[in-house]
Amino acid sequence: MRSMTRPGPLLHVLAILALVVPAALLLSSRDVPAQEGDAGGRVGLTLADWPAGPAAARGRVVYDKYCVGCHGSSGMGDGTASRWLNPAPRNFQSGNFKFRSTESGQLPTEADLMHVITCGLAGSAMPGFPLVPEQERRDVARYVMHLATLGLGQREVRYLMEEEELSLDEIRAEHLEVIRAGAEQRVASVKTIPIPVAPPITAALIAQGKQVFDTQCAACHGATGRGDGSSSYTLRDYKDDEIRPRDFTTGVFRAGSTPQDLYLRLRAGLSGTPMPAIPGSDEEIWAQVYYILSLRDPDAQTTYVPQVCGGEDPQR
Amino acid sequence: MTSVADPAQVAEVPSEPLVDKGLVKWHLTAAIFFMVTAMTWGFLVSLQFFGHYPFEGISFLSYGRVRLLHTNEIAYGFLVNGFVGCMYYAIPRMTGKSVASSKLGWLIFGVWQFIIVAMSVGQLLGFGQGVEWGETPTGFRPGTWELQYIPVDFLIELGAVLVAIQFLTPIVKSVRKHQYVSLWYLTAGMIWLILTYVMGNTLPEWTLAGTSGAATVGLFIHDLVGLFVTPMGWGLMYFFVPVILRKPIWSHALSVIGFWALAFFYPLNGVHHFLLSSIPMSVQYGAIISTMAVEIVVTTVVVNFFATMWGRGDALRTNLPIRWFFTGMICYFITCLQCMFHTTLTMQEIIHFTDWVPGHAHLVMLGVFAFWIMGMTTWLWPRLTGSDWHNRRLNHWHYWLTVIGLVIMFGDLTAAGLVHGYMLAALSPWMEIVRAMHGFWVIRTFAGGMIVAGQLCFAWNMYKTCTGEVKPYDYRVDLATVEA
Repeated sequence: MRSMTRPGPLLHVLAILALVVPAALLLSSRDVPAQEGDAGGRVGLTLADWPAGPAAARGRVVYDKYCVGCHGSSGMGDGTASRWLNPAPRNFQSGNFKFRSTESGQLPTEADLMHVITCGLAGSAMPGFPLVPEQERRDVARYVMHLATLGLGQREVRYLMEEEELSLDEIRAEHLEVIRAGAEQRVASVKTIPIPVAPPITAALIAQGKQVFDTQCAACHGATGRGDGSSSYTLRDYKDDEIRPRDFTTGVFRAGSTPQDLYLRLRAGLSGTPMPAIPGSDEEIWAQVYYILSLRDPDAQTTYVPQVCGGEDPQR
Repeated sequence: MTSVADPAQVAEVPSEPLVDKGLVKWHLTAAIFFMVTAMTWGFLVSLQFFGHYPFEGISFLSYGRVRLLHTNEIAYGFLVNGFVGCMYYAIPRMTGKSVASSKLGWLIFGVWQFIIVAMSVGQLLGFGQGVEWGETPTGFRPGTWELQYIPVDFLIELGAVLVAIQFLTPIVKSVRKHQYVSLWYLTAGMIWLILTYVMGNTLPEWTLAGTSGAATVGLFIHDLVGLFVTPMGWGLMYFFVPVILRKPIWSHALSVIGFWALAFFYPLNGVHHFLLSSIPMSVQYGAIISTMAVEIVVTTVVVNFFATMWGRGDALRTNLPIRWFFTGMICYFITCLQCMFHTTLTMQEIIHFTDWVPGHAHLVMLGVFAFWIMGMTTWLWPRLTGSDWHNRRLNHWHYWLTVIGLVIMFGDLTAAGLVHGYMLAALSPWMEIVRAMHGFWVIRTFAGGMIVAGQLCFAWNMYKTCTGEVKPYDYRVDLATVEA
């Protein structure tokens, strides 16, 4: 039997290439260019310019423990794991929050964030964190709001730099206070959408919902609600990633499947996605909600029972 | 948060006559009883590997007899009782018709427990026959019609026929154009059990000699797994998972593809137990190829389960039965993937006749089907007794002790099998191998002890739930999950 020969120089070169090339690819792909709408990009304010209150400062510690892996160290949705996730993690600095109880285009309330942090987003990589103490979850919610205001500030800074041609140092010295106050004002001025009392589910209401659905929703969500409407494959979100409309027949809704949750989704729209806030009377909205629920379960009138998050499943 | 409908309107407490809860309860009780017994004997006899078996030297309790008890009580005492118990709950609810007769049910219950006891005693007395996993005594002197002991084989066949009559009645009564996949599986499983059992317990004993008989025995072993245990387990999973999650399965089409692929590929698998033997190579290759093809079937189930779980990941934390199912599904995937590789002749050369094989067998029978039955029992027991669990924390002890024990046992036996196999291949002396195995065997016993302890927690909890103070348990809570 022939003894093993020493590896020749070609083999060395190949081995080095085998190590270096993937490593280089891996590293180079980290430098994702800043995208339209993700406020600030690489030039702009940092967290150091934007002092956090005590709650948000505590929240940052919690954030760096549980959230940073996906959402990234400055909340841009660019954590280590983000590359493999679909849907991608939220970029908090973009100011786009899908699941809100506030009017279209506004920031969410702390309660909205708490719901997502506690219950997670079903059918995505975002888990619920009900086992994290409530105080820590509240602090994280505050920190996420803090990141969102930083994002708002970034936009102002970029405007001043591009249009007024001010330097970053000038802005820091002269305009930061005003910018900060403006961002805080945006947080304070959100208007929550009141949820009216849900009417009883009736066949007539569902039929009415179907009418509205067929004219307004079917283009994206499809005639049967499977998320396969004619324009469904062309949609893009705020990161310019492809995004698909919800398939209502799965019965899985990211941030809760109660009629009240769906009411808010329709009324408020999903920021950063093509889903707009839906105008119309309360009755029309409820009709659509019930029709959407009936797509999943035709007997929704009598048997529909939503999954409500929080607390333990009494079945276990 | 409020729910859309008043929970009181939603609550559909099952009407009493539809499901005979007594039968479910007693079959599950018998299942857990035999499981604990079988595992205890498995634990005790594992002590013999390193010379600490307490009943050393007693011929009735020698390794060759107690081993049969361990595997057969699991098959016929635990799995059959568990499946039948769950079917008493599932089939009437799926078909909307009661089973043939409650009296017949109690007859079956009595006959079946008698069979298990007679089987166990017969095996300890040395009447076990040489059919792996079917060592149930024929009762006849080999090759003749001279009766020596209770003909347990025939009683089992009788019992299987009675079970089929009992459950096929509601299924036949309710046949519609589209039958839910669970009913396909359960119907087929009951019929296949009869056929498989007759094949394995008459042909090798009276007609087929030599390698033909051995090949038939091989077919029997795996047909019992593939044509009875598997369809029963899947059939019940396809019922319980959607019921507990309150969410339909992801794909009905996939479930039916899985069913027919099972029927098509599984029956030929059995000969893979006797690879590299004097059975014709064409048969061996056929077995290998069909074993690999079973992967297709497995994928349908695994995909369907995980896709059904989509959006309900929280259930893993909050819902113990679902956690059992999920763990079982992971074990199932590992087992079947393992199967695909170790059925090849290349790998058989190493792992044949080693501890790899019991490692694999424990992963599939305990890690998959027993886990599923435990999940179903965990879910059913409060509904059957009308009382909440005596102590929910104990159920978590049950889960963690069993799962950790199994993981240790499986890892340990798999490693042991590889060491053993390579030592055999290196022509090491037998005593050397025994010395090398010593540590593995000690760890195996330790893991077995954990598993037995877990089952004792569960059995005790079941007993206390049944007999202790009644903790109010509201069915409506299950249907309308409320914030705690």
